[in-house]
Amino acid sequence: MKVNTHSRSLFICICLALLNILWLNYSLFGLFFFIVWLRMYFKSEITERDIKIIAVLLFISIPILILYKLFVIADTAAIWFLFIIIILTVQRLLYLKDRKLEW
Amino acid sequence: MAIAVKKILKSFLSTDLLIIGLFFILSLLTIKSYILSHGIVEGGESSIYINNHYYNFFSMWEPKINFGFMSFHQSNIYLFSYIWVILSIFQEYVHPSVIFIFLSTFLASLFFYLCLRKLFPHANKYLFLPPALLYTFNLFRTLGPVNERLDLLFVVLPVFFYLFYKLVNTQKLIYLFYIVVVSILSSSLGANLPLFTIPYLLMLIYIVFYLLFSSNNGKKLKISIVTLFLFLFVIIANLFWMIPLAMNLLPKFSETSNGLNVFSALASGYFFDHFRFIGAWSWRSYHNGNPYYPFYISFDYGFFLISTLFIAFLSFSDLFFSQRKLNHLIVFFNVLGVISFILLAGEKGPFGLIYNALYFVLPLFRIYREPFAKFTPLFIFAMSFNLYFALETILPKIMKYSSKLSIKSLCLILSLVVILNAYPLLTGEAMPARRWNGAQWGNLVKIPSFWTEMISYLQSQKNISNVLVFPYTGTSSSHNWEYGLSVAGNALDFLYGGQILRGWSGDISPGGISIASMFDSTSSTPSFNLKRLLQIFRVSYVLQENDVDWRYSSRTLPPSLSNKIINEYGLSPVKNFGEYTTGTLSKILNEDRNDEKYNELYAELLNRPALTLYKDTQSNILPLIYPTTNNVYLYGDYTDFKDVISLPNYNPVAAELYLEGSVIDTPASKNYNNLTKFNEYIAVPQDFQKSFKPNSLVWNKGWAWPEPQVDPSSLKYKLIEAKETVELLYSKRAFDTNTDLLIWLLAKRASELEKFQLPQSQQDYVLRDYLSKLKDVINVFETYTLRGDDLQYWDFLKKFIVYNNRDNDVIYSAYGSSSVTKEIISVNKDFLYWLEARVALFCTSVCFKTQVPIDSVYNVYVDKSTLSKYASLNIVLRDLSGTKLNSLVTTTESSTLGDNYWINVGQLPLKKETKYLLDVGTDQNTDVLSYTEWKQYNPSASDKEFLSSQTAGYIGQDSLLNTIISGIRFGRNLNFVDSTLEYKDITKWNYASSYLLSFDYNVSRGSLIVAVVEDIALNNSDKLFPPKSQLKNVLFSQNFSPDSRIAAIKECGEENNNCLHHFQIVVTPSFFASHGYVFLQGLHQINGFSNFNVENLKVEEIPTPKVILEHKVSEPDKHYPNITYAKIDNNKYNIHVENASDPYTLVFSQTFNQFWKLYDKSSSKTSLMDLFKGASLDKVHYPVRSYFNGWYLTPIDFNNKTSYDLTLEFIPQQVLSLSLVINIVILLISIIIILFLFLYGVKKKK
Repeated sequence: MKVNTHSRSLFICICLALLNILWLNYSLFGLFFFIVWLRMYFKSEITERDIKIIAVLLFISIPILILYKLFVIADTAAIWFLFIIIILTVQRLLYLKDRKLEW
Repeated sequence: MAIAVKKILKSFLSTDLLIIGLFFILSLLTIKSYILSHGIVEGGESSIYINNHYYNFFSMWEPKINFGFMSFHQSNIYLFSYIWVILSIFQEYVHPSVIFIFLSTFLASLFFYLCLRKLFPHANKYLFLPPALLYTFNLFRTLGPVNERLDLLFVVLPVFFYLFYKLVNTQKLIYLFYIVVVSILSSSLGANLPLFTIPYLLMLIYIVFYLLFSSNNGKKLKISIVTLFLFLFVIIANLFWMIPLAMNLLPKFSETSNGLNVFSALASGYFFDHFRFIGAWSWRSYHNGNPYYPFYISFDYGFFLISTLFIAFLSFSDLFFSQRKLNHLIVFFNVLGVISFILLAGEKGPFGLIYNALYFVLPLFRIYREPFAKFTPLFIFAMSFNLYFALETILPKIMKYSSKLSIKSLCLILSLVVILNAYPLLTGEAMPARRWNGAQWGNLVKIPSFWTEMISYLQSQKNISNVLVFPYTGTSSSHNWEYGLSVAGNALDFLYGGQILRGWSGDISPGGISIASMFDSTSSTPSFNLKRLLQIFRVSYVLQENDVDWRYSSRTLPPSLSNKIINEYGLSPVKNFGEYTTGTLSKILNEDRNDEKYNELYAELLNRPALTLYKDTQSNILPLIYPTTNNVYLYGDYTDFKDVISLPNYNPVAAELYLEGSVIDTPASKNYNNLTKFNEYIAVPQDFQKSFKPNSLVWNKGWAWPEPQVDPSSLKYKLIEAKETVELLYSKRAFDTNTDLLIWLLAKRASELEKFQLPQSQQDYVLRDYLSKLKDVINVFETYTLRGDDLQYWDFLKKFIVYNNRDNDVIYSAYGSSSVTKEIISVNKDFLYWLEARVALFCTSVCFKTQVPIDSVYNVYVDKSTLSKYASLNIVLRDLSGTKLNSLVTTTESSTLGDNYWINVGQLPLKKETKYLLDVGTDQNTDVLSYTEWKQYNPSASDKEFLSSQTAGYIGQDSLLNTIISGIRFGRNLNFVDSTLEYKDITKWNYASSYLLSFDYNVSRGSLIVAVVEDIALNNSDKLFPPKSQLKNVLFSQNFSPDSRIAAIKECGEENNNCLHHFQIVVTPSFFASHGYVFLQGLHQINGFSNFNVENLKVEEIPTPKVILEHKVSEPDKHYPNITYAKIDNNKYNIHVENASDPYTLVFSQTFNQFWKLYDKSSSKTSLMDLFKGASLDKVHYPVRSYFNGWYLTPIDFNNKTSYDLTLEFIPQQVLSLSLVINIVILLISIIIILFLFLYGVKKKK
């Protein structure tokens, strides 16, 4: 599955990223991930596998960041992990809406 | 036979049984220490376990604490009146509280397991084990394992979900009635309203999900209607506690700016912690130097850090498998996980806007003041389901790699990780039997015999009225028992059934504050007539609790002092209970690291009884209901009541009325005022905020000055402005956040003007913004309703004045010519006029504001303790502008003072509706600073050793001695320099006096430190541990440097940097202070010297007089009717009146409540509706002295009958009785329908 086939979820992602940028505390870290992702998107290379890798990296980074007492950065990583969870959940909801799931 | 046995054995050893057995054993582990010790579980705010009958849950009026209150505890009925009876069957072996805690984990895991098993009947049962364990044993549950409502929620949440799922998907009505029954059985959740809503929120989310995504379009309408009916049934069945709660919460809601003005923790914790169910504000916090959760540290490092996050990630991992077979439940729990996560994170992070919007727009949503605590159970519920889905997907994939692995073994390993992650629950660390956290905070309670003896003594006494508790405590009290007891309230609340009067910070009703004001007078000589007050407050016994820990509360007196004061008030000890010996003291947990505090426990308690009952042996207490014709008009505050009744010849059988200055001001009070004749008029002048001088205010050490980074002319500034607007909007919920932010933003504007070179238009733009915010903040101050000694208000006002001075320095000097600046100047001027009227700038020392009810000549009374201190006092009467109108000079000799509390010092003619100022001062020289030369202070060798052990960044606050040394040397972020420390003695230094330190100074280099230091003599501390009886305490210390802009300029020399500043501050000695000093020290700059000049240094004692104005019109009419009364129950009294030929006031000594209705028993209109409509004698039902019920009755009310019968009834009880009947009816109907449908279903199957 290619992410760009789900433009609606990407739209949500962009909205969330914008929200995140407005929330000044999280801007730099969040922006970094967003740019990486967007770049991959325009190259049409990103697959669900990439999202998984990002998510896993983010989640692994949290304990490492806490170990170094970087609570604020760990929190940013956690928020981005949450964003990815939201996107994947929305994708599942969209499937459900399209009657692709059993009730 | 063998086959049958085998079958039974097999079924016994079935997977289900093994799993349930595991739940049982784990739950048993959580309570093991409580079973072995036969104790009670209790903790902090969950004290109901000690005595489930401590309130009468079936009564609406609760005459229990202070003067009684309208009860809102009815939600406890099912859990603590019914279910508790079942739990009490085994009371002989295990206390019901221990069984309850056991069941809270056992049933939670069991029900969750059964829920999964029913929903997914074909899955491997071992897959349910880790989720059921995660649901029950997790870090969230370690936060408050004894929280009875949360425990109940975890038990019923899976039940609610399963039943609702079945209702929606099978549409069988039997499930609706099941849910109603479960809802009634779990109605005790209602004691925590937000938690009560959680199961219904879960159902609501599910039904919305169903309506949006289900393909069964035809059934959607039916389901919606059924759900509506379900919610309706639930509400009606729960009305019995919802109505009392609403009656209680609604007034509070409006008092707290619609719920915005109460404690909230909307943004506690971190996101990464929330994934592993952590995030309470207290998680990494400390109390008195001890962590709330000592085990928190292990979850920030190593194994537990990784393992807790691993479980979180595992639960979410199912989302990453797009190829898996999905059903709607999987998606539902994915969605629920996200929604509950966003809700529990509250107002922080990028989604905080959503929460904030809900919080500010929907008043009902404000019940979720602590989102983390309320929504995390929902998140845990979702995550436990998600964990099951993840295991279902992942485990078969893992098994492909190795044939040795089985689902069973993998699930068991995973279960082990889940259990390890919640190890504090199982090891007992989350619920320790004994624990020190600044007083004892353990969860095990064993009631000592001295308490049970004391309670049985009280119960054996006849005609006992109220019991007054000494000393004053905060919201909670900690009792020094072998296992300790830390309760919200006091042990007496839970152990004694009668009415208790307590001074504590938890009661802010007029009656509660009036009782608490008794404890304000901490001077060693009695300052009011306690015996007379006890007579009015109907106190039979005074209980001195020596076992209450006093060391961690500033207002709680130690036993030695508290006993001394009670004795001096003239009460005699009746009986002692228990005694602290070396043996008993050694068993009490005391781990304070501060030597003094540690030793104080032994010094105070050794050979002292644990409890002492005192009594006024000659007392003749007033009856609960009494008639009076002695009408007293009071002008003042109800906290002055103790002073008023201490006037010579005051008749306690009175109906006092407060009008102006009182809080409760009902139309009935006005009626009463018009109808009745007063025998006495009394005004208690209110003192100003010790008349602070705006130009003496100083820059506090914690305050910062903004350093703006963004140029107002840049584009980015627009973003900043938007952010500020949003912040300001949010801050409006509370006075403190709003004023603080406005003060900060004003300073920010000023420093922007100072820092950036702005074009004219931009300057005006910023100045105009400054002006509008200035008007805002002044408006906030001017419209704020002051209540009593509102220190927060004055602190912010003072802060504003200091910041405003600094802002003005910048604005006036650089932008003086701007038209906006002129407007700013005029606004500031108006503010100063307003301020002058409020803080009485022209008073010589102490100023009182007063008003009198009628034109007359008033006797002026001054308190004895002030008069005995000064040979003469000048009392000047002024109008509000300061003009002198009249004066009195008192020349009382102390030998003539006698036994009275108040001395009449003369008379003053006063007019109604004129506002006066009473300016009280003395001509005596009150400078108490020693005339000797300055002396050099040499710390002892051990002090020096201590100093060298300290690092410059951290100053230990444990010892007062440390503070004097370190506080002065480098406590104010200064480098240590070896300059001498000099001091002078203050010749007089008494608690109960205030002292004014004033001087003029100039600092041109380095800096100057001025401090007021006192010796503390610890009572009895030499008894056991001789070394330290004298300690030093820094009361005040301030660093003055050339650029510190602390005080206003007094006069300037030729050079600008040679200005003399005037500084003054009022200091009040500590309770135990024995001697005072002024310390001075000059501090070098790093390379150089200090140069300063101090002139006119004085320490003056400020008189702290109290004044009362009194005008007696006539003696009260002696024609009282005869009254007899009989108590039917807490909510109803029958009263018989005889010989009521004249008007009188009937006083009922319980907290004023408009729902107390008095009606003529012979009247036909006594139904609930009639009474609500005003058929009672309500016309002049007014708050006697602001907190008792009073009815002004005349013969006309009874058709000139002189004898009649009255009924006094608290009518909400009728509503409660009715709603309880409805509840029982719904419960019975539901059970009958369930049985019927069940039997019908069985028959149909056959």
